[in-house]
Amino acid sequence: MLSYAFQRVLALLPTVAVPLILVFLLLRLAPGDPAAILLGDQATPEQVAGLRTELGLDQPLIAQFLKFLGDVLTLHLGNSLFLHRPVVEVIPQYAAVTLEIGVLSLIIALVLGVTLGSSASLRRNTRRGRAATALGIVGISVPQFLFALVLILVFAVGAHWFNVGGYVPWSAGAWPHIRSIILPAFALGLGETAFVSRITRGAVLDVMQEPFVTTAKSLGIPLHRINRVHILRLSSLQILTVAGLLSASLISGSAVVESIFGLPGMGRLLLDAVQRRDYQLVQGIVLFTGLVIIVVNLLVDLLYAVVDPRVQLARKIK
Amino acid sequence: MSTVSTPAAPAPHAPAELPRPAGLLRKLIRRPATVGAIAFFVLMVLAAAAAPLIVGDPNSFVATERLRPPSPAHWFGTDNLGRDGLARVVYGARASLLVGAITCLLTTVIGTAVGIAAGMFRTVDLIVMRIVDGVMSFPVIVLALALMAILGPGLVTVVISMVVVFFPGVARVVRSTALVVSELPMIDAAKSAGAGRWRIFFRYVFPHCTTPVLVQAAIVFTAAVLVESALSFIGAGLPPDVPSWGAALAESRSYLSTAWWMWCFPGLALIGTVLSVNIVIDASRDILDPREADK
Amino acid sequence: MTAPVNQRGLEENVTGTEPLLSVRNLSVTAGPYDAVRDVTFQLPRTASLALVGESGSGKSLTASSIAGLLAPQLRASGSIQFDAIELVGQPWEKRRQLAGSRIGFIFQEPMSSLHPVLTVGQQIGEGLRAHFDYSKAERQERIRDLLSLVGLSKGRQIADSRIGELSGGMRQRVMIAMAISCSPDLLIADEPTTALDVTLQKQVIELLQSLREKMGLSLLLITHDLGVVAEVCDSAAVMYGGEVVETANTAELLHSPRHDYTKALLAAIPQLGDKRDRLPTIATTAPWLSDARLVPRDQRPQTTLVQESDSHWVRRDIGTETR
Repeated sequence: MLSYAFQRVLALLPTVAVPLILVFLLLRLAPGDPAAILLGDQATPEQVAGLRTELGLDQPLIAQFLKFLGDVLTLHLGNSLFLHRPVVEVIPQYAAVTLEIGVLSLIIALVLGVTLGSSASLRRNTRRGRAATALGIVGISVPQFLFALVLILVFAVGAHWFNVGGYVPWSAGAWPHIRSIILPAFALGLGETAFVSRITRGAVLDVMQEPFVTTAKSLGIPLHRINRVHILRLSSLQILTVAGLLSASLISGSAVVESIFGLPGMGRLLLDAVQRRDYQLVQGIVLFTGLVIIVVNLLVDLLYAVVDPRVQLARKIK
Repeated sequence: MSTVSTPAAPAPHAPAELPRPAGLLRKLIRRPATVGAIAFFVLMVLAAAAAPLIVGDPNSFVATERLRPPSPAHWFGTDNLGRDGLARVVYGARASLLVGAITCLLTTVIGTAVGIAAGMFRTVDLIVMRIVDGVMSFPVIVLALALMAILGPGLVTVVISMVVVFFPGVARVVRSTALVVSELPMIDAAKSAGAGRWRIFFRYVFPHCTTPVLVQAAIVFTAAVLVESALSFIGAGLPPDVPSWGAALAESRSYLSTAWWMWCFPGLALIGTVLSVNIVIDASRDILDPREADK
Repeated sequence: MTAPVNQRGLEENVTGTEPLLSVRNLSVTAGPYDAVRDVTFQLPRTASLALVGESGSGKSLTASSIAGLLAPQLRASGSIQFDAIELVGQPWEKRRQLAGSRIGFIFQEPMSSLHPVLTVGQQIGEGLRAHFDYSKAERQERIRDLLSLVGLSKGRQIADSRIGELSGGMRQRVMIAMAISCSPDLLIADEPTTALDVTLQKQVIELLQSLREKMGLSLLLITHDLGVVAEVCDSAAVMYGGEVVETANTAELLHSPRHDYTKALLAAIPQLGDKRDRLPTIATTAPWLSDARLVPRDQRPQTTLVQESDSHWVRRDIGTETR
């Protein structure tokens, strides 16, 4: 297992490279002097010159990049222009909010999606199954923010069960906190539910036709057991495959959802940072996002090996 | 966010039976749901194209006509500034469809080029596909926002970020089709008859890529429309003076229960457009992948 | 006289004189086409019958319909009596009670007919779970017993392996172990040796025979290998074009075949010491099997099975009931 994990980390190195290079180039490609941009309009020429030497902007690109790598690895990511705090201090507290909602919506999407998808495939000739299939295709045609708006309309404005927005931290109480994140989590999760249900449906339909399902039937095993033990076990592989895509989608969506519900998460932080030209912060957030994606992909690869031990034996052919 | 490109785009088995686009279209027309979907989409495109001819100015407003519900004068009602709902929806179609089309086109061209290169040259394959995989798993909106910090908001930024994240999907489809087809005996036959690499590729391999690429391009189109509307919604997409569905929905936020027509019509237009393309995509996949036939 | 009802609520025939399996006029249809038509044969208790025929003769479909494993697009009609229980027309829920516990099925291709990820022990265990209430320890012991019954001695190791880790012969034995795990009365083996090489074939056949003796099984063997039929089966039914063309005791069938197809089939077997240049082949005499493979039933010739002597039935065209 360890050697497999190591292999997977190696394979993910190129994925690390992309956000790194992106962030590096980001600043240097922007019109204007990078140091001046970083320090903003209020900076004095001396400050700008100082930053220029500090960043090594006079040196060849390769040297700059190496320096940049070094900074990243030692977490010297600069200070946020507007929050007047080091970037590495700012990000975690916002990230926590986003991650919490993200994980919750992932769970929602997986639970609802697999249920819906199983229904769509196992009962595909019944009304329930056909409805599930239809829900799937409609669901992926609806943008996340629309789900959010409808949820707000029905549950916050209409039923007054929840607030229209605003975030309540844990410290203010468990239940108020949960109340403030349920709608956002569902807004994010419902969008992905449809996607997961379609993948599940396809995966189950594929596995259902395999001969070993007939063998299980010949032994008199009840259908619900065949579905759960024999079929879903293999279908989950296909679902795992899209887990990486799913997380990227959730992170994307969180920018929108946080903006709608007024949550202090990374998405909104990014939006604000971009609008205020707070480059150090933008850079930090992009790097952090890249890190999250890589960790998620690694987790998925490791889970793969657990669900299907054959994977460890054979090299994955892309 | 409805997602980009499912990684398992139909694995091309039995490419010899892969219908060409014309054949696919013929088979699609046999299904009633698909015909309805195509009709709706064509209607939307025509409306968008003929916008200046069929509706008034989406930006002009009459302050006394604010927040009026649908009526014979204003089929889709008026918004909070008194602008005509129908005009805003139709012009919004223009914006969304245009962004979708441009993104789709660029993505297809770049993705196909990369896929061809990867399919034909081993070294390119090894290096490029790794980078491509890294890029495709990056959240598109984060990328769009980051690019916005550098390049400023607007159409260009939006399109660039979407093309960057979506082209790997197309590249992979082209590459995997190329890999599958190059294993076929007919390629060996061509090689032994003396056909060169390029000839083999363009004469034999490439034609098989057409239909899968079309399907993937359609998927990119839907993703582009959805992402653009999301970006416009949070104010990071098209400029505010350009009517778009996302912006219209953002404006409706404060009037959710008081002026339902403000979010209902742009919302339905958006969902309808994307749904119609998705229906066609699904039907195409059913036709291309015989295993899906579960009747 | 009311028949006794066993714990599964199904009637059981106690007298033992009726054949275990009696198939009468079985047809399997897909729309206007008959894939299998008018199949009739009997299998007495503890006996063995072979369904012989070339590819496409309908023997696998017949076997599937007995086991209740037909694809949903196909319809079975006619009569299949298992232990005096009528199977045709029963919903899957009823037939499931017989599956595994009274009728076992050995599939042709163990590589694809066994789950790729679950271990051998888990798979056999699933079958046991469906019919018995064992504790975990009891189940594991039973699994080991089954594996040694089929000649796999390192039971513990094999039970923890996946089928990808086993050799072809071992996989087939696992398949057999699964089929007999719940002590069925009837074992249907669908070309169990076709996917194996000759030495393994012999081993599997011997295994099946010894299991028959030990467990008192009746065996329905699907095969195209007449050599196996001669060695193992008491009687045989020859199938062609979806129909049974001749059925008789093996010895009689092989020495005095009556139907033209059976005669051609036997003549086509190469003999040791054969000095002929060309082997006789069988031209397709059934026009309904030409290009389209299936022809609507009203266009097929009318035939029927005629009993020409004790337990020897031959298919003749209607109106030509002479030899």
